[in-house]
Amino acid sequence: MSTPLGNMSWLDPVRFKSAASRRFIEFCRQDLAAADPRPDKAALALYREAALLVLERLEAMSTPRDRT
Amino acid sequence: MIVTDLLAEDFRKYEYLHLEALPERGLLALVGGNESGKSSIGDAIAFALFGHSLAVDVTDSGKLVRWGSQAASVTLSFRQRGRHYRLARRVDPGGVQSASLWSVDEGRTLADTPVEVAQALKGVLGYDYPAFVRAFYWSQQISTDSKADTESLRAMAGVRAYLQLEQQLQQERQQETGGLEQVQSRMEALRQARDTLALDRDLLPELLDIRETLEDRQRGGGSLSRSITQSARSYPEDHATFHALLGRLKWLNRLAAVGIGAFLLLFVAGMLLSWLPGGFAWSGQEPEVLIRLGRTLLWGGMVVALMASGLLFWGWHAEQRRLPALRDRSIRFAASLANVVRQLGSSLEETLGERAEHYLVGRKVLMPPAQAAELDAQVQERLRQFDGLPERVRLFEADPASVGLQVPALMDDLERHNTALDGFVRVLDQDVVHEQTLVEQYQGLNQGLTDREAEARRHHHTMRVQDMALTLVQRASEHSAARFNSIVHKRCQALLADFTQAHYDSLEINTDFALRVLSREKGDFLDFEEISAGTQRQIALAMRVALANALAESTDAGQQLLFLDEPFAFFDPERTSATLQSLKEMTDGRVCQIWVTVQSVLDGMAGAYLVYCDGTQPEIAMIDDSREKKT
Repeated sequence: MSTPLGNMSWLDPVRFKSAASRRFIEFCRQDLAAADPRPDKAALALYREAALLVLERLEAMSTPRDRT
Repeated sequence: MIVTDLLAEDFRKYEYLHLEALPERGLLALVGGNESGKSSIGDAIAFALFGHSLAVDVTDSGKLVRWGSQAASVTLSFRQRGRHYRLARRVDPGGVQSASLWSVDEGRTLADTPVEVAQALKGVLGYDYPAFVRAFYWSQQISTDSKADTESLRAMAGVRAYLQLEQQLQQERQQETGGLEQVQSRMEALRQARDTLALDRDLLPELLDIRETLEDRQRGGGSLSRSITQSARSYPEDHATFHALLGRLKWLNRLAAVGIGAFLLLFVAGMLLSWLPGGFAWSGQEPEVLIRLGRTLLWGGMVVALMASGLLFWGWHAEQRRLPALRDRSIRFAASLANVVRQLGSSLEETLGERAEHYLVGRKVLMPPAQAAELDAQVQERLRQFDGLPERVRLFEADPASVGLQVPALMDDLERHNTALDGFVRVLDQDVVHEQTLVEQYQGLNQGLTDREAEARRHHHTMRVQDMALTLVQRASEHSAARFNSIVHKRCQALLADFTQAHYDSLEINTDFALRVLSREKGDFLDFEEISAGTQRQIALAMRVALANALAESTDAGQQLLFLDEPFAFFDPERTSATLQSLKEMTDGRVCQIWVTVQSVLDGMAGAYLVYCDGTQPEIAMIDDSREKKT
């Protein structure tokens, strides 16, 4: 999944089960697409690490009922 | 999705339940008292679709089996986007499930295991269990505490998880800050310990250099000592040999000189007699005799010349064969003696340099300069007795007896010198070991500091990531709140007004993610917590219904059911009636099949379909205006 912002496969919603995670992924996609100026490599790496931290926590917080 | 037929066997309190020919559009009122089984109908729908109910997880789904039965089964017929499906699910008391999804129109099985059914159903319905319970299924049972509606609305807005996560991340950020402070404190302690060592980084290499120089000198002294001892032992014999050889050579030289003189004399005489015999007429001898005599003399001269040459050759040969070895030994002996004298006469300070001299004086290995100068003068005075000895030895001019006396004295001095060097080296060894220990401690502290610095960098990085994560969560919350407010603004205002009898017009999540409702009476927003529990429930219900409509439209699900379990528990009769009226009107839209469980037939239910639940097989009938007609 190559985009002008690099490989975005880490934002693949299939990897995440909870509704909150999927909402957050949607937000990140919109946020990155609207980013102006375009983030440099270091900023994008930090963004990715922080986003994955959020997703990991959201997944851990979700109960089985919240999942598909 | 519209339910057209529901068949449940041995499910919860129902031995047999069959709701058939269900109206696809309208309000279905499931009426009955407590424990009458009306909520079980909602559970049956949820179980058939997703394998569990709102109150019972998949792992506990065996609890849905009626007491004493072998298994519970639910068969749900539904219509979705104009297509008919039949979904059958079975569970035994151990929680083992089987499921299958059948396409009635195509006449084929779409999925035959619970996992396949879950995947196929997501494709058919366009939503999954979380979306179903968030939008199309509302239960009074899970909304009993005072904060439930607030949390429910925040969940609907998609900010509840973010708010929980924000608190969690802030706690983790504080822990990380605490961790960093601990690491920094340990780093400071390590730095102080390292500074306390006051390590002179240049000292150890210098000590090693000094020690190496002293050891070299010690080794050189030992080697000289052995060489001189050996040379001194052979010197008397060499001296005697040398002088004996020298005497013989002098004798041979003298003999050769006599021979050469005799040869010259005989040669001249022989020549004169042979060539000028007339000159010797005065002798009275015949010329022939004189000539014969001359020739004899010439032959004799030649013999003498040969003998002299032989002697010269013999002398030369003897000199070439024996003298060089003797001279080599004398030269080596002389050089060794000169080296010892030079070594004993030179000070250590000249060899080691000023810094090393200061260090050795500080360590009391060397004397202070003034004292050392005095001692040096004494040594120089003592060494004067050996002046010229090496040169005399080299020329074999030194008397062996004198050498035999002087060399031991010199060797004693050299031995004392080497013993002193040995003491210096031992002191240096101790200093080197001490300094190496200091260096190891310094390196250990440095390594610890490097490790802590790496740890601090990890903490800093983690904190940066946490800060970024907090920023993202806050912005995602604002994004969700803005979207929620937009949906409310577009879709919920009319419903809110209907459900609250026009007391409240709008709802929003503000920048602090607090819920606020717009009071028409006060013309201003009120905190959601300020209004009564009944009104909170009405607003939450209105939001649920609005979200159900929104989701039905956004997923292009076509017509959609909505199941509301005991929604009017906190409603007064007027608002109940108004809400029922609003729900009935809503069934003209996408959400066209609305299931409502109530304790009894209520005002405003006219035109709704009644399913009276008493634990037995119910029938469906429409309620007329008299409210009395029950089945």
